Amino acid sequence: MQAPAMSESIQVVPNMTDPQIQAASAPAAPVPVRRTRPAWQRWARDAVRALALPILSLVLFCGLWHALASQLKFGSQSLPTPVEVGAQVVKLVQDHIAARARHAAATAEWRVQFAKAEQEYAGQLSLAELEQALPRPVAEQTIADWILTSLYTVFTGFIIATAIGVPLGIICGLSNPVWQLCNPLVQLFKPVSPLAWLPMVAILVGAAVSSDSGISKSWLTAGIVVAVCSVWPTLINTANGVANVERDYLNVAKVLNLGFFTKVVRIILPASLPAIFTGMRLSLGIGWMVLIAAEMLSQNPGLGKFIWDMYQSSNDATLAMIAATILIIGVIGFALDRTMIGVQRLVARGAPATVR
Amino acid sequence: MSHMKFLEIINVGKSFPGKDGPNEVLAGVSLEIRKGEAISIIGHSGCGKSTLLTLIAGLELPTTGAVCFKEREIEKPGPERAVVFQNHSLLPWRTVLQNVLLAVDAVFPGQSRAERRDRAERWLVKVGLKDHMQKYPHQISGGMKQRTGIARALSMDPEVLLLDEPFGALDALTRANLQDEVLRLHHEEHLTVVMVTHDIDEAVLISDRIVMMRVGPRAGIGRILDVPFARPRDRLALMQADDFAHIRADCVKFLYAQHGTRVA
Repeated sequence: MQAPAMSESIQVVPNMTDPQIQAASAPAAPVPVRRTRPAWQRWARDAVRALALPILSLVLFCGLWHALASQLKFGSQSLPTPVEVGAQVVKLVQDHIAARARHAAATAEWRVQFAKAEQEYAGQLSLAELEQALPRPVAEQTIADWILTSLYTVFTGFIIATAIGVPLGIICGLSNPVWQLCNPLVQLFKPVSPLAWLPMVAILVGAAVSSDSGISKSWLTAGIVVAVCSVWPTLINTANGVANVERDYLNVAKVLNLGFFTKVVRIILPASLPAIFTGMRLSLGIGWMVLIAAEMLSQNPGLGKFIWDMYQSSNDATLAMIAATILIIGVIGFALDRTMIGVQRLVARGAPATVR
Repeated sequence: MSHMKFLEIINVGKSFPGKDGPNEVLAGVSLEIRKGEAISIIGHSGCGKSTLLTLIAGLELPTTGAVCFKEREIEKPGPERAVVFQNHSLLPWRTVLQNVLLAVDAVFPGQSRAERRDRAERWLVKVGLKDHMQKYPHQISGGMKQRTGIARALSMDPEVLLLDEPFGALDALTRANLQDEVLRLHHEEHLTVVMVTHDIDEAVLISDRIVMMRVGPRAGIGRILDVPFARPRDRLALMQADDFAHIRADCVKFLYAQHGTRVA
């Protein structure tokens, strides 16, 4: 072990001291090293490249929109310009902030009143009776509430759709007879519009859920309609994924003599996970589209109902407000899709499947 | 010693349903393989040599005749006949260790978790993957993937190791490495090896007998060649032996003749 170290030192010492050798090696010393850019610079460059074209397309769109809106007249109405719509978005946010501030002030005021009343009527009225006589101020609904209601409702439907679509899809994918049994029904119900489902679902939910149960009928109706209309991509993609698991993987299961359950859990499910998530992503996209229509009809207090209310109470800013809400709906739908792509990438890590 | 026959292929035929009637791939194939023997099956593409291997594995059943293991007809795959697939077929969502564990868990459900993990790790160390157990298949080279496949097969404690063109997709150096590995494992673990290959040198190096297939349809065994080199074998010594060249030439001659009949 010592020998190489010794020979190394023997070589190094004359190199360092012998001026001739030093001189000879000197010109070679500054080896041109190709410097790579620092990580943040590369990141910034990629970000600029990734953002430049989308921003350009947005700018072009707004320019075209503005030109059209100022030229076209529809009788007494005209298209709102981007600036007007932007103003409405700002107004929605400002309204939200103002409403929350009002509510905070009203609540503080109410606390003082309530504490006073509590002392005054101590022993005469219970707390519950007192609250009934002096109710806590209710917050005004703002854009944040509508968005949250919509998200809550769409995820209700999405979870129902997933809970039905994935297991049923697995069974359909495993068994050709079951698939052939289900397929005609899938093809029959897949193209039915949410608007066609809604009245029936609303009547059934209305009859099944009593008004004092605390369950919001409009929420349940909209959620079920979302589920019924968005379950299909999850079901079909899961069935396809399960049915098309690579033969090699199934051969492995065969050679290992894996039992049915082990085979499904260890091999088929992980292998078809990318397909399942593709289906779920499509379902969520459809669900978000269906939701707006369902909310309009079921009067679930989300973004759909807000647009409907705008439509009913027409004033000067109606069109701009509707356009602003459309934009908000689009942005949320986009964010939902991106989130699902992120989840999909996480799930497909290591798997050969490509995600788009 | 009992006189029980170890692995026996008895007058086997295999046909697959085709567009114009059944497509007869194999016909009248008979072969007896002794315990501890290393057999190579060579032949032109499409001569049904892989099909023969899937019949021994039990992944397919013969149309006529029978394949028997220890005088029992093979009806399905089993851990005593482990397969190393051509394209490694590792599960991409499992690490190298987890891929081997899949086999160990399936074959030794009675053992404790620690025992099973121990067994899987032992085999991975044996094939030289000690430092790569926690990696995913896409993080390791083709040779390592095939080593994992071999470790997965051997961790099942098989009596027969079936190799389906296992090193076809690898570069020459990696292939040589893995051939030496198989040679060593065959010797040390007293395995019976049946290997399908395109590579004549590989066949001569590893096997006791080389089974040469006639071209299909209705393919069968054309000739069986003995490879009488002593074991353990050494690649370099073998390559320089005169007999090596002779046996090699015999194989090439046979395959050339087959090719001739096919073209004509």
